[in-house]
Amino acid sequence: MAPTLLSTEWAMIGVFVVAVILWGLRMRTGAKTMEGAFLAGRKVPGVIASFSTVATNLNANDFLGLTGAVYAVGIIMAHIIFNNSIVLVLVALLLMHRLRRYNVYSLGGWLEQRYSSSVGNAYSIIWTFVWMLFNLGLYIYGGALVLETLLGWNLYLSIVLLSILAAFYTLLGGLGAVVATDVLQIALMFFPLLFVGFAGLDEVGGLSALAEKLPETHKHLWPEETPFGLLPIMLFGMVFMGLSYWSCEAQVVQRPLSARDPEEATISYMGAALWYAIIVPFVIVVPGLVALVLFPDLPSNDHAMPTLVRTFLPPGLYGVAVVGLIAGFLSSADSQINAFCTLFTNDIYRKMIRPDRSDAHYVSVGRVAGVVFTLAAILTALIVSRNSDGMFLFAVSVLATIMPPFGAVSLLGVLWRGATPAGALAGLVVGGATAMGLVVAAVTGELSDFAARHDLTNIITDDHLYLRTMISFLMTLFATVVVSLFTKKKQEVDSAILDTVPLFGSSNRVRVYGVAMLMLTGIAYLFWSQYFA
Amino acid sequence: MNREVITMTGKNETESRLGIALLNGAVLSLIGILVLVTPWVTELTDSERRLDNIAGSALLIVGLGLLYWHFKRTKA
Repeated sequence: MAPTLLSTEWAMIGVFVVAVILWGLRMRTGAKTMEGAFLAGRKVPGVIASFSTVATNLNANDFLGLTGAVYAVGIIMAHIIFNNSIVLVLVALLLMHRLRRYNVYSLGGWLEQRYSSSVGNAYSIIWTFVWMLFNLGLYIYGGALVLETLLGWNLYLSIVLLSILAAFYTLLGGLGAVVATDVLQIALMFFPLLFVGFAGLDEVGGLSALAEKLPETHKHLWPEETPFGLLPIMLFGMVFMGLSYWSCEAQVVQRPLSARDPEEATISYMGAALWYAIIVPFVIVVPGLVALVLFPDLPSNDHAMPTLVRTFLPPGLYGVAVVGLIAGFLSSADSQINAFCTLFTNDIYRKMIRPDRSDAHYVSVGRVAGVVFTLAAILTALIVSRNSDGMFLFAVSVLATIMPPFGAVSLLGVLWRGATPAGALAGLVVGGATAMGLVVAAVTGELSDFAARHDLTNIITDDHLYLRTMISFLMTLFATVVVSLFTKKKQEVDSAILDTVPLFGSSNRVRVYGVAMLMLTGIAYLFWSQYFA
Repeated sequence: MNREVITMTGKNETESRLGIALLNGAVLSLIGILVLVTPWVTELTDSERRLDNIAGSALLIVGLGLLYWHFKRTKA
């Protein structure tokens, strides 16, 4: 039974909703040009962009789903968080300052400059029509589930109300409104959940007691075997997935692209790495483990966080948590809607359908497309609501299929000037076919049969998404390199992009930041390994 | 350059600046006050009241700090 909210808690929700609407109205004056609407005029300070990056990436699905995954699998899910911290630094230093320097609207724009329009278009179309639709549906469902679980609201009504709110201020105020509200949302998301984490730890007796009380299968950060296969397979798979995600995911890539300059673009990812190394383990991992100790028989993994919120937060702070979880939904849904409008309007409509129109025309088209997209995502959310358990791992599984080929081609484009347009296209085709083939083999059971026949069950486990990521990433690299060796380079772009831009970072300042962040992540790893070796 | 603001157009920076600190500071302050007021609208245990007081005060301090920062920058 969901608790009834107090008048003060309803007032908190009211204040928050009014605030995001005001942001949309206030920012609409700056959202009349394409750069204003889709990239906040490219004037966002790096630190603000880093808050926005974290708020965009962490959403209700993560607070429910990733905490649920920790509840289901154990402390080894912490590797995802620390891996994010490491990979963010690498992608920031290698790719982001480069993308910002070339004033593109999306990764697709850079892929087109570096390789060819075919490669850029492949990215834009797949991201716009496959991933974004599914992902926004998942976000909406996650947000509605929070309202249903914590407030007892009707799931379907919540889906509609949340979608209308997110679309309203995003389409009105553009990325400026999205970034501005992200700053508020990140404060409201993390603040009460830190209380949950520390109150939970206090209840179980601290980190040492938590480690002792966990089941043997859930308490080791460095086991030889994991549910995803041998530990090195999981770790390498996570690295490849992280490299792909932070290079390719349109909504997060928009943050460095909206930064004031290449150095600030790098800082936007570095700042996000700091959050992952220090704070996120306490609001995601600790609650998942505490829930396992205190409530081992929950009906669904995704109920771990809501159960803790209800248990540990008193009235008042409970209201802040509800607002924070709504904020968690909005901060990602708004980014997804804005990213869709950007990709659809600039990379598809302007390039392929109606070139040479005014900015006002494209902004209007973006808004109409955003409305249609939101309606379609509501339908997706309704479908997801019928089969939703373990939604975080399901979303990761979809990403593991479509991202690695683009991640591999993007990073190779930076690191090796010999990569050619034909090579990149071949890499996408081979990598994509490999990823799809592995999905089909997994669904039909062929993969499991193969593992059993060849005694590879400790490598190819039931949860093989990291193995699939690694294989399709490496196959993409292999195909791109082989075909590139025998095909012609795009000379003018190679010299423009690769010769004039430093390989690692845009200044010594950000390189020092990068090294400091990696050392900090190493210290965080050592800290957690003390308790969960 | 004022680092906590987003400049929307780039053409007339003083006219188009909007302080992120202003509205967000106001919202955090209001929510902090509402958390602090909650023990007056319902019965809470001592530990629950203490937790609300800590959380409400923290939100209020951060909110007021953001507002102070915004107005200080605006004057400068």
